[in-house]
Amino acid sequence: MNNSNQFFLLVKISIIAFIISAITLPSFLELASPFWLLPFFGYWIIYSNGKKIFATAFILGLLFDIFQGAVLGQNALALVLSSAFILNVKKSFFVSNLTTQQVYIFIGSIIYLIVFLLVHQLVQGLNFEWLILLSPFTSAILWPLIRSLLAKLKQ
Amino acid sequence: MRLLKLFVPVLLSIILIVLDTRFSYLDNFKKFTLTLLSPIYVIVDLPSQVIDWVNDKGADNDTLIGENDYLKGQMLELKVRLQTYNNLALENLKISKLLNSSYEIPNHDVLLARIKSISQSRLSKKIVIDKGSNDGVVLSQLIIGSDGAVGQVTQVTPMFATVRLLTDPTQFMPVKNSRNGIRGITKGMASTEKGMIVEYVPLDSDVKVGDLFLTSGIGNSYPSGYLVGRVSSIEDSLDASFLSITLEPAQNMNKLEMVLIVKGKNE
Repeated sequence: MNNSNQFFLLVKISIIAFIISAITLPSFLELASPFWLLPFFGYWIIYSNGKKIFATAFILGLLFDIFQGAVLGQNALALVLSSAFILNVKKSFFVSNLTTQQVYIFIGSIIYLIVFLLVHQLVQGLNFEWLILLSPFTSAILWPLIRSLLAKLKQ
Repeated sequence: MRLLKLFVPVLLSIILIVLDTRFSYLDNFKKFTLTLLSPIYVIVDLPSQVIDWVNDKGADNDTLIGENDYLKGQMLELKVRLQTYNNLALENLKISKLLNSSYEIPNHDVLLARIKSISQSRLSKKIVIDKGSNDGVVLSQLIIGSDGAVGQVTQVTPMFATVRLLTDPTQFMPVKNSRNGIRGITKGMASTEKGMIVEYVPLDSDVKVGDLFLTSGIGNSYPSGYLVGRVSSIEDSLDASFLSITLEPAQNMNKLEMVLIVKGKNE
């Protein structure tokens, strides 16, 4: 994939992630739903040979913070750190079966969740609903679906 | 080298978190960027717009006539109620003058808005409405529903505005007891969908279950006199300096479709 294709794939992936995250869901589903930006951006990290991953993660996370009205830097920090993990396992991701990939996405989502809640704790105090702890599981469960959707988008 | 590449965005993120929570330097940047991102709301809202359009086009004549008759009946009923209300308002004005009371019945311009999206972020309770700065919406305006106060405008773009609900844990609103004027500040609760607590009400205050709390207008940020909630429980502990009062919001936040933006503030 050349640079312009990679950029367009990133734009498409980001727009889809933003749209999905803005869809209104029942409150319990919304709490337990994945942090959509991570699996979508994770796909881009793995299946493209894009450079400046951390800078891209930072900008995307920042846009997501503004879009969601969250504290500026909250999603950016979470996405940068979880992207660092995904980038670390990138080589083994290719040769892994789907279950192992789900485990990687699960761990990446846990990192995202921890950073997200940590910033929330520091800024607003730790008052959250426990259903949010399910989001790494749902990210991992939905990974095959996200992967196949984005693979079609990539073609 | 990779560690350095990671370190820079991490450091920048932390700086931004601190800047955003402590200062408001970045508000204009956020507003500008949100305006650029706002077409995403149009895309998200497209299916419901199409469904509304199909429903409007598909409604037959009999249904529309029936709906029209029902609305005429409702309007008549409300006009009758309004007569009683006007009499009460006049009576209230006379009594207020006799008592030298500063209380006034709220009378502000309002703007009708439709809800586009509910709760975009999982740790905050927010709604997005279809009116923005093009319609005269500005930051901090009070939003009310048919039964009571809903929240406050926290972000504005030309076409949309984001409203933080009163039940959000970061939303504070000065309130007063409608029975005796005792003042406090409401704060949302994260653990339950609909609860609020009233803070800073001293232990020996006269507050009873069932009392109504209204916006007090203190601080001049909100118009006063709009219903916020009803006291559902009171706890007093000797260890604490203040009562622990729980409010049930007057407005059911889960059944909102249309809201009113209150355009005025207290003078």
